[in-house]
Amino acid sequence: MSLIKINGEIRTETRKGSPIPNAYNRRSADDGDRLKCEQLKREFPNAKHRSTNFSAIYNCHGHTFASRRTNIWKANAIRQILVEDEYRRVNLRDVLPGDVIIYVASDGDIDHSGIVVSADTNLLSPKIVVLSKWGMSQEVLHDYLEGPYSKNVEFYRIDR
Amino acid sequence: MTILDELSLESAEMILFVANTAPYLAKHLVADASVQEIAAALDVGQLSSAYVRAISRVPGNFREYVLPYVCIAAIRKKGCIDKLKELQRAEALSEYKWLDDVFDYFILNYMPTTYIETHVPLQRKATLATERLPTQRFRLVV
Repeated sequence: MSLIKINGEIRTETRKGSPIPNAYNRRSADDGDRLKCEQLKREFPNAKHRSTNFSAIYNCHGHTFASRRTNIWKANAIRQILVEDEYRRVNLRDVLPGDVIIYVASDGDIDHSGIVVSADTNLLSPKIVVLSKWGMSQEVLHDYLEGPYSKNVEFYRIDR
Repeated sequence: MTILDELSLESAEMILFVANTAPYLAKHLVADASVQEIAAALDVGQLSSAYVRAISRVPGNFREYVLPYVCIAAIRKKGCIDKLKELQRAEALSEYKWLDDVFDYFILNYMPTTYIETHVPLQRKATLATERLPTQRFRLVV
């Protein structure tokens, strides 16, 4: 029987076979971590904060692209995944639940990602709800433009 | 107790808490008020010493976890790129896994922020040899 280590890396690859650097950390939350989770709940009261709370095992990109198993923390790895997993960019008006959203900083770096869980794009102001994990804090259901990240977004979908 | 111990790092801690990538951490720390305060209060020698002490101990709380990143962001704020290159060679505990990427970000994206102002003639033919061409003011990064 093999034990799960406190921290380490798992084997993660794109469809094309390129390795994706990653790291997980299974340390427990302390009082400081819990306080920060609570602070985020107060700062973003319109978002629905899931009870998952603190976890250093996975981050937003690990949630979006690696099934909550690890942290993908190299910014350029996300563009590589989008290309090598054959994601296709989708217009805001065509967004569907299940699409991936990425948050792009002004210099082009990808700061954050999440998964669209509902989308009503027929409105003058589209209503899109996203599930994403905010760093080490909890998973959050939020309006796609709400949160501590860039407001410049792109949507992606895998068709096949 | 040092000056560093007395300064609040709460906003820097929150940046690290929600950061998903090293570039996000680097960019937001440099713009953070607590880093600006620390850069103003401590000289490069003090910041370097604090950094070397921090990376050799296992962080017991989030303040200790963010401290090495704050130190190098403050050094970056002061524009001491050679010191950053020197500190990057120091061996850190594996807990500080983003250090190398943050160093790289600071060093590779460093832009000098000294400006000079100059007047550059506009592109128009003078009708008289003695006519002075109008100029436009530009800011140049040097």
